[in-house]
Amino acid sequence: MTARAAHTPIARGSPTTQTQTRRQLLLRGGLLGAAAVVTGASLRVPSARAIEPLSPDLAREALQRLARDTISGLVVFAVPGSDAYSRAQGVTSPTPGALDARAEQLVLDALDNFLPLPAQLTSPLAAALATATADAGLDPAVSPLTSGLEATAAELDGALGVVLASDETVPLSALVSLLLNLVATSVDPRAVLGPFPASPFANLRAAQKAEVFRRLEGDHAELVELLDSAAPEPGKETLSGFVRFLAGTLLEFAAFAPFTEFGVFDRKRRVAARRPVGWRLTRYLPRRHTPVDGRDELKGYYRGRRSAS
Amino acid sequence: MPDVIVIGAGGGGPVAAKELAGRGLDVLLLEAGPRYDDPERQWSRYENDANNPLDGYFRVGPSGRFEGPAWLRELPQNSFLWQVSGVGGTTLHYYGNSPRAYPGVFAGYEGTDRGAYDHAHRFPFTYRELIPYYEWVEATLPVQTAAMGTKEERFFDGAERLGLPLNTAKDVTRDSFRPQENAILQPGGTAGRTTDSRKLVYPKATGCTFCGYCLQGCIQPRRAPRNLKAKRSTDNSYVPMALTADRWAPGGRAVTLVPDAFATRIHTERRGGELVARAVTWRDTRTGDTHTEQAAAVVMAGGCVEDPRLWLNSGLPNPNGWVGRGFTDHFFDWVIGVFDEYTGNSGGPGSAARADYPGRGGLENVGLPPAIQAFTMALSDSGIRGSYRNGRGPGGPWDGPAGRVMGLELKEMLADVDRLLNVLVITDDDVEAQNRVVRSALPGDAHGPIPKVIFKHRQRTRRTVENREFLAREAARLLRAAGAKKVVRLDWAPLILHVQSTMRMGADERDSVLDGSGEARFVRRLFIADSAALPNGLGGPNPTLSAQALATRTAERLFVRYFGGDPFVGREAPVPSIDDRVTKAVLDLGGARARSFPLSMRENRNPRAAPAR
Repeated sequence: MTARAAHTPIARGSPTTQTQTRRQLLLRGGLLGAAAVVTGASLRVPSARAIEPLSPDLAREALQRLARDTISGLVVFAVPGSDAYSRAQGVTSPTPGALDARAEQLVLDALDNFLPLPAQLTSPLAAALATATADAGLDPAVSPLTSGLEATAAELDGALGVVLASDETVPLSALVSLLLNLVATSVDPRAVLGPFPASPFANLRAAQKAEVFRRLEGDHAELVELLDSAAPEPGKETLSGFVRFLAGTLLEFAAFAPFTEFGVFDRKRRVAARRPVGWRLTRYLPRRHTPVDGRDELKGYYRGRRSAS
Repeated sequence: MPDVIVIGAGGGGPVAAKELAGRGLDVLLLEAGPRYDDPERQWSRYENDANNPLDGYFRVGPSGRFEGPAWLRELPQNSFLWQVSGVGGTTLHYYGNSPRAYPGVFAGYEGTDRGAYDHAHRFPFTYRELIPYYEWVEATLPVQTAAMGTKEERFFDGAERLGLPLNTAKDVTRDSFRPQENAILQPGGTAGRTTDSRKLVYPKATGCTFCGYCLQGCIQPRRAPRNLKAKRSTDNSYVPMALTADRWAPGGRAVTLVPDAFATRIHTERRGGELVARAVTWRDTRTGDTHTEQAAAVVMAGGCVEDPRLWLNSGLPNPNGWVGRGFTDHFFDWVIGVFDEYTGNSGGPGSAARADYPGRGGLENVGLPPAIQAFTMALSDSGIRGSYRNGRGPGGPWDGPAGRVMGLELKEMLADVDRLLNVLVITDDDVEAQNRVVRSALPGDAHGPIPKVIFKHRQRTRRTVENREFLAREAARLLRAAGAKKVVRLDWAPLILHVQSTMRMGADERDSVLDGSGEARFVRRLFIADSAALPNGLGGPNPTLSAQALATRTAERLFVRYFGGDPFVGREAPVPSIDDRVTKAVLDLGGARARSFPLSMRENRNPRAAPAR
């Protein structure tokens, strides 16, 4: 089977419908909120205008904001603390959490710099940024609050188009975040409103975040429809398998990252600058910030046995 | 041209290379990943720095881990594939566990439980026949009965209270428990008795210092010559022997080791109506240059995932469709006990206590530092505890449904990493054609089409599933008997770490890639000497020792068949890798930092270009 070029889905319906559904996708994906944040606009004030026109640079910044807020929402789901993201999910902890260990940065770095995913897996997600085909309906209670952002949405559309048309790749962290946010707004359409305009996922309660993962691990009919994976069957299967793999991997990284030395690691000297948060949380090697060369754990040999016959 | 090219310097390649070099053959050993010639400086032992699969020093990818991405493999299901590239391969992060296979998975087994094993995929020879090769490898590594720390004491306490008898033999004949037979040097001097680094330097300390970093690479004791490092990963044992074979073997010849060399093609030609291996092309992962070298014989030892890929990318024949098929992974599970008192979970060797259940599989205690401990609690096919079950979430003699531990429960369980005790469930799993490695339809990388690893983990055979359920219950019972106040079962998604049988040897040409000597059925002069060659999952025991014993046998067969040599295993005493002659030779090459090969040797080697196929 030869490699397929990136597939651009064909939008269905009238141009007005296409525009509407794409705008809704931008909103649900968190991009509209992110654009609002980076331009100083507000999602809650219907008459607000964008303070400055959206440029491709601002579009890129919006994507980064989107990713950072979403991944922060992910890592505190695994290891809550007392930060704003933990408060938003309704589960906090008096001891340090994932953000105190800079876990979100580890996950962002992994996604953006070192996960070599090919376009066949990422382009359905990227294509969803460019065009949308499914009826990504919005909760009627939400629409009036966001309708005033038409201008911002139009400019974001245009700016994103420039970003996508250029040679640069949309960061994987943004694509993954788009996926989490889309499912988040299926779980709760009102998640587009919350302390984190750039990330509906980060606005969810913890139990709702779990529901996002239940859907990602389960049947993907709705999700695949939303992304319009109009690719032939093997393509849909590949995408589905990838989504399940991704869901599992995100949770594994979210649990691993906060307990590592990453947040305090001096990469040049290859040593932790101070005791890592995760070592404190787990009482690992009390008072140390470097690995040991040995421990006084030798108890002897079981029943004195030193060899087997 | 060399006599033999060995592809892969992991758990098996160096074994074949050392044996052949010891017989005087000219061996070229290729390794896709880097060579760590200064591990005390290169291995920090911090968990993210070491084990992050994307940019850790043990990742699968080109050297220069911050300069470019890891090598992608497609995994179309929730699973974690734990490969390592580099000289030493996955023995770099292994625990040295070296149990023998269960006799029941071999031809000719007459035990009363013979119906309990995967009898359709047995070894094509008897267990008795492999014993001399086991003994040879056990003496070479060497393998020893493990010492105890606190976590082992707790595990043994639980096993005793379950009424399991102690097994004092090398072979397993009944449900029993025992200290691990580990390829780890025993603690001597100050080792295991102090945390003071200044007191733990060789020769004040010898052998295992109980640092707890098996998974991050063994550098202990500091300043020990490379072949006297505690854990007998092949970079500490077989590789130093291979590089110095001219110094300890009469007529021996030092192996040429080329790291950063990713084999991309095995070339063949027709001779006398047969397809015959004749050359290997590899790509220098740092420069992108390719080289081709001919040889009289080729040994593949790239592991269960890379061997099928290389075979298929080389266009080699696959008439029965079994290249890449029959992947056994011991269908792992993980059960954690939380205790009110100290367990020493994060210290000591990674695993020094086990229980064996022939016909079902086994259990072993595993100790971990905090971040990997947390990772083990986030891998599951059963959703998130307290939230959703993903269609599974089995109950049993553990607390609550199986599933991932997240949020406040994760923090609570991890509040003291040294009050946990982990039990790894290692299932005797059937060889199934549906679990396999194929080539991905996604775009290839610099080395061609990439592997896709498929595990139909919700469609495993009934025997496999029942074995796993039995062992998970036993693990929970053992932990409670040992005093655990809380027991959690994870119901892991596939953690592909113990890997066997994707290029299996077999009695029947309809479902095997290799004949009984380890030579490929469809390509002469091509042998496989790693765990992919194993006929099955061994009944559950950790595969490295069996892969190494089989690799020794295969090397011997190759030597006899194509170089007119005589068999040697069982006819002479093997030289252990800790022998003084080996130590002296290693020190002459540069000590713990012995370079893989003198630079001049590499520059002088003249690869003769062969026409590409």
